[in-house]
Amino acid sequence: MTPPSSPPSVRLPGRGRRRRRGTRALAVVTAVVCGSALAACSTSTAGPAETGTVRTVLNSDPSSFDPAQAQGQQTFQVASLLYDTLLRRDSDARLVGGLATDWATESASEFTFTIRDDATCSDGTPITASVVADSLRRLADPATESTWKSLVFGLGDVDVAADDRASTVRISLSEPFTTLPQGLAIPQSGIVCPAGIADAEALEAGSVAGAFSGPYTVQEAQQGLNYTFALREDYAAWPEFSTPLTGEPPRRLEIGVSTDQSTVANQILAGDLDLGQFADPDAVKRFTAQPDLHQYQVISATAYVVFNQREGRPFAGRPDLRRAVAQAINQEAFNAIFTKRTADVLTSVTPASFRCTNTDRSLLPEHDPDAASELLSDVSGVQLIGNTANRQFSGGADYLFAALTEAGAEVNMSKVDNATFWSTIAEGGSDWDIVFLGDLNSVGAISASLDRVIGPSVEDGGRNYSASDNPEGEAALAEGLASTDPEAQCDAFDRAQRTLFERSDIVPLAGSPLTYVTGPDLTVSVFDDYVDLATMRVGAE
Amino acid sequence: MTTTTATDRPRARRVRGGSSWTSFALRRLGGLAGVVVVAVVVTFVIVPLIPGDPAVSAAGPDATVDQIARVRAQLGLDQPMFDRFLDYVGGLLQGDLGHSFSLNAPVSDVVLRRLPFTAALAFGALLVVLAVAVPLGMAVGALTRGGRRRRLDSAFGYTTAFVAAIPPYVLATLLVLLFAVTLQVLPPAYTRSQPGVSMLLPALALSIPSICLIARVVRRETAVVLEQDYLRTARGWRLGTVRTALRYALPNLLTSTLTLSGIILVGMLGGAISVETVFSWPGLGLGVVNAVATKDYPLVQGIVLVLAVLSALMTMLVDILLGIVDPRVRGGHHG
Repeated sequence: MTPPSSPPSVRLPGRGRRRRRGTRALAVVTAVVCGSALAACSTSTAGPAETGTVRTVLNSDPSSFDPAQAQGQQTFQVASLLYDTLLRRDSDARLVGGLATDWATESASEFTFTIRDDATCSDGTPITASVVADSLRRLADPATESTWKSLVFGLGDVDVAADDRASTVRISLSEPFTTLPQGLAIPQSGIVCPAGIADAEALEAGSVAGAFSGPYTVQEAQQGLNYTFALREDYAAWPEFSTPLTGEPPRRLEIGVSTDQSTVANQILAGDLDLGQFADPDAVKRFTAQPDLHQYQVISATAYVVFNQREGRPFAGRPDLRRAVAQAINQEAFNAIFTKRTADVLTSVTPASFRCTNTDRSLLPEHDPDAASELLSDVSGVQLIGNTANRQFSGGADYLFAALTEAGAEVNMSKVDNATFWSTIAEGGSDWDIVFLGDLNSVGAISASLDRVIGPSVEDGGRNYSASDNPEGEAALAEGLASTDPEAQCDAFDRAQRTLFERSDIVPLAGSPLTYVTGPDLTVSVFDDYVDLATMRVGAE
Repeated sequence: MTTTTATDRPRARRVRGGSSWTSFALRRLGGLAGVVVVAVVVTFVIVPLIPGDPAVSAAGPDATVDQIARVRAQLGLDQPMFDRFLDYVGGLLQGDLGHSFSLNAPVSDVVLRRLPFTAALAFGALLVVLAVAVPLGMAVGALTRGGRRRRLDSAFGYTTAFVAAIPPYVLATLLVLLFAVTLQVLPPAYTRSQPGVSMLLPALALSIPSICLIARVVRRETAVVLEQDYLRTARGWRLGTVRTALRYALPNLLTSTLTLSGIILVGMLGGAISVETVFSWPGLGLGVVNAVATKDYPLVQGIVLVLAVLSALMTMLVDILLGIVDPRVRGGHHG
């Protein structure tokens, strides 16, 4: 490009100074405009008290809107908002009525539930005994392939009968299973209304408007982005907890998806979110100087060591070696790494808040590295699988590796992601010797954790990862599940736990804490170690 | 024997120019097709190398061995790799990117939902880059031409080199700390009620390193252009600085700026992965991170493929734009 053929205007004296002054003025104006614009971008948006809307995030998308197919704690929480259960958890391990007003455990395998008469589905269909029975039959049906069938009803056959005149549902089991009432309080057993049962595919996608029996319906579901739930105006089936709820339920829930706990913490501190869940103790620390925010800490899972006792593995038939591993591990040191001492060390497979949990520490071997190394120094080729689901689990695996190596054992550690971890130990013949589980017991009954290490192995259709041969423990567990007397049941479960310690089948480690943080206007009820999101209330006293 | 008359000459030039354009466009389209084929094969082969069993991930830790096997069969993961590849390619040819395991939704739906977020972020960041970097680079280039203001030149050089070297996720964290946590003037992450305002910080995190890179190139190019004879002449005629810069210097900077902008826009699509994660920005970057975590092969493949094709498309568009701005790039007749 070439310049024009004739020169333009000539610069006048004083123009340079004026230009500099102009430049400075421009800079000042720009700074003022930018400053004002930033100041105008106030991040403090109106909270639930003003809008009736609660903003929260899940760390993953719901795996399904069908409660029978729900996987993962976040999906259970979503199910608890959309579907009512027959019973609900209350404080001190008690149950209260949900869709059932009353229930009777006639024997270890016969149960009758009286259904309330004021509950309706989200399309207005009355929730009768038949509606409840159809939903429970679907959950128990092998064709549904729900992983929760065995947790709710046990391994045997299930018969569900409805009497609409008497408003009762009768459940008969071929094998005794007295934890059935607890199972019918988990969100995965939520009652699906007829419209949802009629269209399984749409039910999974959350697009059946009349499928919901709970207080909320899905208003918008943009998978991978966000979800909006709306409170049903006609919903009246609120449970009567031992401590009555005060305040108002949120009218609308806006749920995003975020995997980064620091980001969620930032959003809560900025007032952009009203509810967050944190497994990372470092993220929780950021709320210590925030007296307006509410914090609720629960033990969401338990960590304990499990040994592969299948034939040919180093720990099979060697309780002395397993005991040596327990002696090599310092529970307190593990806890310092795993939870930064924000949770208690365990004395069994469940937290102390669970009924029938052993609290006698004398049953556990003391930390004794010298005694441990006497046996472990001769052990080689131990395969330790570590789970990298989060920093806590990864750090815990590092501690176990260090403890065993210091005791003289030759250990090979493989650190794998969460899915690989579970797939490895779920396959009977895979190459592992020792792991520590993060056991999420959604039923709230100790039997649902005891069967992780007692009873039929995973390859035989059971839930026992260790494949241990513990007939005494198996008999005690079965006795507990067949007992309708609470004391006798606890006695049986206590005996089952004692066999675990005598055989050194497990090494209890620590609880895995999860902290719920809510904004100033929002509260939620905690029942033992269970947070029921359907009890969220705005403006509670 | 044919003769060329004076009136035929312009027509001949147009034909030769047209053929140069055709060959140029064909070359670029061929390149694009090659990239797509490679992207399809590579995404299909690499994604299953992500550790972990998607069937277990989908079935959940409470599933029995039989249930996991059934899920594996439902997802088609029990089929030989080659059969799965043929299915995958067959689906792609019909516009089907597959079905997401974890979201139970067509991958194309998920991609279409997330794409506008990534596109808005990348183009918004690019606009900021061009609006800031070009004037900044030209101003510094003009002020420091011919060895003037050496301190300013050094300060500019060191500062831009330092800032450009900061990884986007570190910059993102610093921006959150300053503007969201300390000053509390901007949202720390994506907020549904304020999508525009919540895009400011991620756009800044993406654009600041690029501003530094482009400003450095523009500064150098400006210094070179300003030493050209025709610009000395323009200055001799006492044309205003701004007029000289806009009318005579800027067009000569366009080639390098456009080339860099194309590369940077493509880089921003990649950089969006970390920045979107820090800001919970619901674009394709965050989508692929979540999909990897849940072993959702079809979703990872779909998003990576779409990002690869978008990158190739943008590179092609920049090439074509360069061909328009600078005919020498077309490699044929210069007109």
